Amino acid sequence: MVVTVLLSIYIVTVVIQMFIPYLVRETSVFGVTVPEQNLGHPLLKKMKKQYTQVIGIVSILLLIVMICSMVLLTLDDAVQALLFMSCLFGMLAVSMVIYGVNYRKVATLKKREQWGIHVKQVRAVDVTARSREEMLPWPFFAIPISMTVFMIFFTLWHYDQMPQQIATHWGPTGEADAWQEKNYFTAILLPLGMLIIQSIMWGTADSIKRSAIKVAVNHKEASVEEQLKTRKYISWNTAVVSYALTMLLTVLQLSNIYPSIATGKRLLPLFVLFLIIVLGSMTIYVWKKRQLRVRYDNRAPVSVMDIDDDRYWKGGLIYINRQDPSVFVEKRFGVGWTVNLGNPRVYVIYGIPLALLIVISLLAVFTYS
Amino acid sequence: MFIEIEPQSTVPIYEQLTRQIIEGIARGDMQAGETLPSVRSLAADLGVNMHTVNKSYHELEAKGIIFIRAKSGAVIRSADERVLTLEQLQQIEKNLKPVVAEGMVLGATEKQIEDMMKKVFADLQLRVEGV
Repeated sequence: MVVTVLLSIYIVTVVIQMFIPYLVRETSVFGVTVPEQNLGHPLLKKMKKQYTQVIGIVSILLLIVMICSMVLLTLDDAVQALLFMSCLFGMLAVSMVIYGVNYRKVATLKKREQWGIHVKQVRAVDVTARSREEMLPWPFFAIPISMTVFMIFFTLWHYDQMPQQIATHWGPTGEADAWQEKNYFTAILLPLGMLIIQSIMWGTADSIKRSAIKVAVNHKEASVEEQLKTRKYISWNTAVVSYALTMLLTVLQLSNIYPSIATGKRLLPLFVLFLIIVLGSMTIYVWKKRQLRVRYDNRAPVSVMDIDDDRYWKGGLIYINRQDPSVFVEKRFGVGWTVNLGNPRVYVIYGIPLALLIVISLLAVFTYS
Repeated sequence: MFIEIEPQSTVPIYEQLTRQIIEGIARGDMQAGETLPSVRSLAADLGVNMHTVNKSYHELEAKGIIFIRAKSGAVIRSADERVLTLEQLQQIEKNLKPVVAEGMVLGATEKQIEDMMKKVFADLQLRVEGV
């Protein structure tokens, strides 16, 4: 079971990682903004192709290692899992290194050939786009929270009938593998954690809504369409994951109150379902994103280009811009969004829940010892 | 309706914003009664400080082009609500003066300047009739 889970995660990650250069906005090549008329540069095409090929070969080799170890060696489950995780991180490390090298190459090329230095930089905005926004309204993210609050009260109500040992950790097969002594704190530990994760998801969806709808100045209509759809899908995706997580953790908490729910491998289908929903929703998002991608077929010189904000992108990966009110920006390299570390809101949305999580885990350890 | 801002221009961003909103209304891209985006979201979309957008909206309000309500936001006034006052006319004339003067100094004839005015009018109205 662990093997299947890790294998499916590995394959999904590899496929996404391989095709990242073809998934991101075409005018950002390895994290560097490239003006439209320079997109046809042969070196860029070659680098993208090489990146995909190398990642492909490395991950197939690693996959062979994984399968061989599974078939030929009879490894302990834990050792097997460790090996798979190392392969996954190894693959990610290789792709990061190639990315880093290519980022430098493109940045140097851009500087040497002075790309876009005489093109007027413009920020375009559609003032009517906000009225066509289709992101889910906030109550969708508040419902799971009310569910959790209900679970906390429900647990306290049934406190007496709970067993003396509270499960706090579950293996991938759906069986509990760590327990703690019952007290009022450990009894509601799970819903508390759930509450924090749900708040983070709500905060994320809300911050994306407050972030910029970015218009590509030479493809205004198409890019607005793409942005509105992306925002819609990301908010659905966040909601789906939030609901799936709520469902899973609610059942786990119920199994703490009624242990018969979790006997044997009864919870296994639930774990599988959770995994399918989360991976599936992510895959659909990536696929939709690929479909929506704005095409820059016309390589003719343009008189205006979007603002070149490369200087705010450290290494093409980390975005720090104090002037930008957006909390979330689309990643330069990778699927999804990244935060603007120059915006104090980020530290409120993620810092507070993270601090709470640490406090709760410390308290849990403290009460345990 | 699209707005294009040039951060490197010598014209301040709030001024560019004000001009383009006015132009959009003149062209009929935005109609009376329509609401402008909230200050917060327009600032996010432009990637500028909220004060910049706020300043522009207040300028538009001072000119009598929009009205700002606490709940509904910045709404474009209809032509009937926008009564042209003598002061406003004088202000327009004042703004026009340096432009015409520059043209005269550079040697543009009265006829050329008049034609230019007609052309600007035609450019803005073309869209209204086109829709």
